[in-house]
Amino acid sequence: MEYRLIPLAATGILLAGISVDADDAIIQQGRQTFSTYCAPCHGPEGAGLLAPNLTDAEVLHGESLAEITKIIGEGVPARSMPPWGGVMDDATIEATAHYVMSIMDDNLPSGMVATPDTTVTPFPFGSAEEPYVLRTFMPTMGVGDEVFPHHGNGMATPKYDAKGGTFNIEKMQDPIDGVPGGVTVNFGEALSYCFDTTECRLLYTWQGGFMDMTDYWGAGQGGQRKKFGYVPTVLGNMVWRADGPAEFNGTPRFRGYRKVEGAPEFFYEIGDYQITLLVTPSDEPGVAHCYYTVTDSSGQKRSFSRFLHQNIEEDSS
Amino acid sequence: MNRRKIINGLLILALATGLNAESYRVEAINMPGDVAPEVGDLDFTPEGELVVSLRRHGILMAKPNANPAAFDWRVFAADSLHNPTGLDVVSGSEVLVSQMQELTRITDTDGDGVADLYENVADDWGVTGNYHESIAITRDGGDGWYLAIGTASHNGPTFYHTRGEFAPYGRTGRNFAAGPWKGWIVHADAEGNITPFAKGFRAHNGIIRDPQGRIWATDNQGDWRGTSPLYHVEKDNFYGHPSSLIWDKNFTTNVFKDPLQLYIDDWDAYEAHRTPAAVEFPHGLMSNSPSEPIVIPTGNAFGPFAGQMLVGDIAGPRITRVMVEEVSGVMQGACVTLISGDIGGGNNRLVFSPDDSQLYVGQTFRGWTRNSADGLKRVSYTGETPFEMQNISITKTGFRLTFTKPVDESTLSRLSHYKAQSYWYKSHHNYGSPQMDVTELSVTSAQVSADGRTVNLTIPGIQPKRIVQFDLGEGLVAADGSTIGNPTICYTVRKLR
Ligand code: HEC
Repeated sequence: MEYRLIPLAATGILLAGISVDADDAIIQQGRQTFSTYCAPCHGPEGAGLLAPNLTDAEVLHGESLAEITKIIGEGVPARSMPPWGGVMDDATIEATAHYVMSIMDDNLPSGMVATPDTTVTPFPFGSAEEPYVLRTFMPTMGVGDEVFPHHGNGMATPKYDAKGGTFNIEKMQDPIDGVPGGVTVNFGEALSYCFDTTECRLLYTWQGGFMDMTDYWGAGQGGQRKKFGYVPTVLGNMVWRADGPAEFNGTPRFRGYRKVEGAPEFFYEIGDYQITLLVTPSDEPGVAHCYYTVTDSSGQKRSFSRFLHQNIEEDSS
Repeated sequence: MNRRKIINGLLILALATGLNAESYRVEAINMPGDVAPEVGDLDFTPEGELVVSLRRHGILMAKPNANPAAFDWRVFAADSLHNPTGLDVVSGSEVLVSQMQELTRITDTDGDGVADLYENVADDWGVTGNYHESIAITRDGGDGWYLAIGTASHNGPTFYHTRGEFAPYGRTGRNFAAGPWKGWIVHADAEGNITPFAKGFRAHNGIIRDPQGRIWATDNQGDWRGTSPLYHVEKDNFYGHPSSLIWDKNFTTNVFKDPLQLYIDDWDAYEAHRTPAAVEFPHGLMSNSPSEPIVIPTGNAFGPFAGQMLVGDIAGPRITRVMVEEVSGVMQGACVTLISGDIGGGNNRLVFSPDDSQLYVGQTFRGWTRNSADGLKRVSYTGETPFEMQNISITKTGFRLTFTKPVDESTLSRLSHYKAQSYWYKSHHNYGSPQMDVTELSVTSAQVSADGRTVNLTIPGIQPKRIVQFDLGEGLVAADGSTIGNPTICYTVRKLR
C-alpha cells in the first residue's frame, strides 16, 4: 500500500513548488487527489455521479473544514463512502478537504445518475380548500402539565453507555418535551392547530407558517435528523393554548375522524359523553372556529360553537 | 486486505448487475416526484392494485404496469401518517394501517377514490416519544391481527408525557421497553381488544402468518441479539430480549422487579428461559437488518423455491432465502442469499404480484440515512433456472443437500467441494457477538442420488445450538456448466435428528 502514498505526497510537493499561493497549491494538490480517488463516484467536477453532488446546497455531513476532513478520513461505510484514513496521510486528506470546500458553492447541476427528480421538502403545508393533516410527535408549546392527566410520567433514568453496555447512575438522562399522540392540521397561513388523541382535547393553535419537520424527517429527502429531538418546530405565531382541567370528566377514548370538506371532524368519548369536534378557520385570521356536538348517556344531543381568540402574550416561540 | 480492492469492489457493486441477473431481473419503479419514497409497507388489493404506505405521504395506489416508469399513481390517503409500517388491505377503498400510536381503518366512504374516514381500531399500547417504536402487523387468519411492537432505542429520548404508563425499570438498557407492550407480539381482535401473545423481542420489524398458520418474526442484531434471527413465534414464549418482561406482571411480581438486571447478572437463568431462533442470519454474511419475511407462492412462477421464505435486508443490498423444517419438535433451518447487488439496500417490505411471478420490494432507511436506499423495486423471474442449493435437511449423520440442477456424479461426490464449519453467537446485553468456538468440520463421505441432484454428506461432530456454515467450492459445477450462484449456506442446528 505504501507505494501509493509516496507519489501522492510527491505530487503535493511538486505543485507547491510551482505555485505562487500556498493555499492555491494545497487546493491544486487536493484537486489531483480528487480526480484520482473521488471522481469515480462524485464525478470529475464533484457534481455527483454514483455519489452525491458536493457542489450543491444539500450537505449531509457538515460544511466546515473539520467536518469534511473527518468525513473523508472516516467515510460513511454504511453508505458506500469509503474511509480514506488508511489510504492517505493526514495532509493529503486535508488538502482534498480544502479542494472540496473550494467547489462547495459552485452549484453545478447534479450529474447523479438514476436519482429521480423530487420536490420533497421538510416544510409541508395545506390550504383552506385542502387542509393538511399530519400525525406526528409534537412539541407541547408550553401547555401545562394539568392538561395531560391521562398521560404517563416519563422519568429521568440512568444514562446508557453504549460502549461499556452499562448504566451510569451518576449521569441521569432526562425526558424531553413532546406530545406522543397528536394530530396536527394546517389550513395555510390562516390557521394551524394541534389536537391530542390521548386527552381528546385541542392543545393549541397558531397562524403564519406551519412546521419545519427537519428534526424528525431530515433535510430534503433524509439525513440531518436531530438526535434526542425528533420533534417538529412550529413556525409562526402562537394564538391560543389550552389550560386548566378538561371540560368533561371521565376517561377519554379517541375513535377517529371523518373529513368534512377536507377538514377532520374528530369523534371521541369522554366518560359517558360522545363528542365530535370540527375545527376550521374563522373570518378572523388565526382565530379558530370550533364546532362541538355532545351526546350524553341518555341520548340527548346538543351542539355549540366556540371561537379561540388570542390567549397568549406576544411570544413567537 | 488490500483497500484498493475494497473500493473497486464497491464500484463494481454499484455498476455491475447481480449474480443472478439471468434468473432474476431487478427494476426500479418510479414514484411521483413530490413524495419521499420511504416505504412503510406494501400490499395488493383484491383487484390487483399495488398499495404503498409512505412515511410522510399517506397511502398511494397504482395498477402495476409492465413499464416501471409508467405506474399511474393515485393518492388514496392524503394524510401524513405516523410511521405507517404495517398494511392490511381489504379493498381499493378500505385499508388498515398500523401507525406508531394506532391501528387505523382508512376508508373511502363516498367513492371518490380518496379516503375520508380514519377510525381508531386499536391503540391500547404505549408511545414513549422515541422514534424507534414501530409496529408491523399480520392478519391472524380470522378478523384480528398480530402486532409486532418494537422497543425504543437509547439513541433517542422519551417524553415527559408518555402515552400509557411509564416503567422506569423498562427504560434502562440499550433498546428499552418503557411503555406497555414494547418488545411484544400482541393480538388485537376486531373490536381492538389487545391480549399479549409472545415477548422478548427487540426490533422485530417483520411478522407473517404462513399458509400453515404459523407465525414468523424476524429481529435485528444488537443487545441480546448476537446476530439477527428469524423466530417461529408461539404463544407465551420468551424470545430473549429481557426489557419486554417488565410488562409481564407475573414475572415482575414472582421473579424480579427488574428483569433486565436479573438477566444481565444471571446468564444461565436467561438461557434456560429463552426460546432460540429457528434460523440465525450470520451478521455481515447473510443479513444485517432482516425485515419482513414472505413465503414464496406455490408453483414455479418465481423459480424453483416455492414454499420457502424470503427476507429483505434493510442494511444490505440483498434478499435472503430461508428454508425451514421440523426436527425433534422444533422449527429450524437455513439461509442463503438469493438476490444481491443491484437490488440496493433498505429492503423493508416484500409482496408478490397477484400472478406470483414478481416480487415488489419496498425500501427505506426510514430517513435515518440518505435517500438512495428509499424507493420501490420489482424483481421478476426470467424463467431461467438458477443453479443454487435448492434445499437442505439435517440427517442422523450429517446433511442432505439438494440442488436445482443435476450435477455429474464425480463432481457431486468430491469431498473437497464441501467446506463446513460451525460456530455460535452469544445472546447477551452487549451489542452483537463475535462468532464463538469456530470449528472446522470434516465431511467424510458424500453419497449421490441417482438423479444427480441430491448429496448426502456425512459430517461427524455436529452439535446442537450451533450454526453450520457450508462454503461450496467453485468446482461444484452443474452438468450444464453453470456455476453455483450463492455458495454460502448457514444452517441453524437447534436439535439433532
Ligand atoms: C465508492 C464511491 C465513493 C468514493 C470513491 C468517494 N466517495 Fe465520497 N461519498 C460517497 C457516498 C455514497 C457519499 C454519501 C454518503 C451518505 O449518504 O451519507 C459520499 C459523501 C461524501 C462527502 C459528504 C458529502 C455531504 O453532503 O456531506 C464528502 C465530503 C465526500 N464524500 C468526499 C469524498 C472525497 C474527498 C473522496 C475521495 C478521497 C470521496 N468522497 C470518494 C461515495 C464515494
